[in-house]
Amino acid sequence: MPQFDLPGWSQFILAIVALGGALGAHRLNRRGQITQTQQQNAANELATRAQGFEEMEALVDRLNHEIERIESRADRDSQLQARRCRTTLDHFVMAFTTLQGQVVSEQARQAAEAAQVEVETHQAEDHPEPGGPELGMA
Amino acid sequence: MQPNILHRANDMTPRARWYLGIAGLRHLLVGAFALSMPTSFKSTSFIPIIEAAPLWFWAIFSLGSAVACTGAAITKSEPLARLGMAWSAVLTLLIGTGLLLSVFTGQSSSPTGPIIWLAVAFKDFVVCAQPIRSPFEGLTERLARKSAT
Repeated sequence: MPQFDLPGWSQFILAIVALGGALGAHRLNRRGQITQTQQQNAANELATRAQGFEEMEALVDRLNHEIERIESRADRDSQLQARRCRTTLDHFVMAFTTLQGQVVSEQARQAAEAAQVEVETHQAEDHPEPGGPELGMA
Repeated sequence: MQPNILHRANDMTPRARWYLGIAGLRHLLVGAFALSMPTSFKSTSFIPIIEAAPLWFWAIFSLGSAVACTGAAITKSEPLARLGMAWSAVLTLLIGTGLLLSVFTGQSSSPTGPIIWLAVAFKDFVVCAQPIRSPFEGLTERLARKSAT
């Protein structure tokens, strides 16, 4: 190991190291704060999406109850109507479940859009009257 | 309506609190020993450090870091935690560098001292660059509590 004589130099060297260290720590702290803010924003975004999912689940529940109510009627037409509603709702739930698993995938987005078109078609064909049941109000 | 579970101020992670607590204890012990028992620092490897500044200065420097780190661990204050970690990183780096100088001046009997002190210093720097708070901490704790019951 080579040996050096450093009388008085240790103060200078340590002062330089202190300056560099303080600057480095300050920069790293700022980087940590930026990462933390990014994580917070991402978490808030996810929370917002999760809230959307919860609302959608509540809507599906309400529609299921409504269909059960219609199915329980003795009227044959109502039962046929309820069966068609259930098929549409089942397709929608399937797309929605896929969407929950693949929030950002293009395939899930397309499936959700197809399900939405199906729901709209179903509403236009089977519930054309203006006072008819609306999505979420069933 | 936005869910408020992630929107309120998030708690400091237990990892960060433990790290701050341990760093605080480390600096408290070093500072207290340097202040109350200065004669115990008789190894020649401390010569570059003590040449640069008197031992009482290092003791106060160390105790200051201990107060910042421990205080942040107790109060969960993020600004205090960032100050404490930066303070701890710089102080540890200085001690590590001082010990490293003693290796090159032939005043150190072993290079393990600077290796360990510098490794701890870099660990402190790494922690500086990390988030101190986790947005998922509250949610995780709440879910863990729910699944435990």
